[in-house]
Amino acid sequence: MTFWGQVRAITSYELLLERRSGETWSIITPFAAAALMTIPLAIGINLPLISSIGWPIFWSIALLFGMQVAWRHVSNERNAMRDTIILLGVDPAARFTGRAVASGVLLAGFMVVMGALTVFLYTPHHLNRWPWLIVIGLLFAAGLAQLATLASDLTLGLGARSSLAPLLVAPLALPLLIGAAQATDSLLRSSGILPWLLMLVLANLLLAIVGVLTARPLQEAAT
Amino acid sequence: MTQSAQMRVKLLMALAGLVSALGIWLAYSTPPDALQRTYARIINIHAPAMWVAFLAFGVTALGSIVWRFTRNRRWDHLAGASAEIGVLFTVIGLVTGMIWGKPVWGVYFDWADPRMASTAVLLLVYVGYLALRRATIDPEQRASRSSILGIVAVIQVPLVYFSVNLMRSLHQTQSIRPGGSTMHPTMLRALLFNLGAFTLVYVALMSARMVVARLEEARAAREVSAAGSAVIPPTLGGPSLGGIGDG
Repeated sequence: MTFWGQVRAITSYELLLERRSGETWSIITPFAAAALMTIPLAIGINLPLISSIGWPIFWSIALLFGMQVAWRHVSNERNAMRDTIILLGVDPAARFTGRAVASGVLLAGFMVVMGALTVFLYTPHHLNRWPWLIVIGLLFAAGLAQLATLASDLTLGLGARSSLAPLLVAPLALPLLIGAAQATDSLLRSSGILPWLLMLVLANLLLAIVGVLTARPLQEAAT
Repeated sequence: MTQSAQMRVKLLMALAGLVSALGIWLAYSTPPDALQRTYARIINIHAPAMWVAFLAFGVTALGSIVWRFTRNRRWDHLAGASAEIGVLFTVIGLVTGMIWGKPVWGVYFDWADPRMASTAVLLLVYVGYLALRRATIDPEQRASRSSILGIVAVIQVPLVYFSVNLMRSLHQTQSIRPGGSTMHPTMLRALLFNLGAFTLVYVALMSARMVVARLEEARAAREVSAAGSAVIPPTLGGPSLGGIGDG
């Protein structure tokens, strides 16, 4: 099987697992929606303020709960499943790419739902070139998915894995958060978004290179 | 550990303590700045602490790279020890920066300042590195996993250093450049002396931590052998258990 064939198979397998467990849609998304609702309640009746923090809150929620979406491997993954994939001779880089693609797809869907909820609950300021938000969102989702997959491989088999995740992913995801939030802010102010888009693209490229190059050593370290 | 090695570490620690005490006195005795007044003295602690933190994280990356080639545990110890000390110096750098920032900038922490924000992220990433080391019990796995993070994380060091050049904000750019310094010679002397003193403190702490790492490894090896020796493989010729093993 070719590299991309393996990637396709791993992606389908990951999405199938998610369809069976339903973790993203039945647990994480309602919880994130509840978080979106608690912030205006805590702020009180200050509609201009709520409207102005709409997009920043959206990106914070996308990062914090998106981490959970991309980190769902932890609850699904078993050593036996991993060993089977290794014994089947799947390229570790293909495994990394497939899992990152599956997480990216789920994250993109999750962010569409959260974006719609943000618009309904916060009525954020209108974005002049809103289609760019889709590009920003896709770059953010791809970066976060790769980072969480990398962190998942890095902590494979460790007892404290679930508590270690936020500590590893959150600081390294800050360039993604800053890039996405600043690009959205530039859209609001009708100024150039190119530097921020480049930052997101660069972060994605770096993560892809590191993820693919370290896939084999990390697999060897965990077995 | 031999007596001479213990003595060497003690002497190094004493010397580092003495030199750094002298450095702090020198920092305190520098003349006040025209604008920042006596607050400028904090820079003599803040800047050397951050320089040494960068050095420490560089050594972590170097130790990680060499471990990947040699698989010698000593390099992994070096990487881990250096990260611990790097985190300590980053905390010192951040805290002194915040103490200086309040009277001079009006805030303890300015989120719009790329140097401060990126330093905070750098600290969190290396805290994560140390957490990963602590969470991995098997030494080989620990070395393998943390070496990858140690190599990847060091990318942030140049980002933090050059952040003031890439994005203009409250933070000043480098005062010491290849072409010369913008500082008064008295202030520069104190700053450079402290840089040397803090580097010596780093070396002393590293040598002590390396000794501790060797002792930890020896203890772990003893514990493994003790657990292993409790399980004795069955042998022929022992007391009869009703026919079992008699054949």
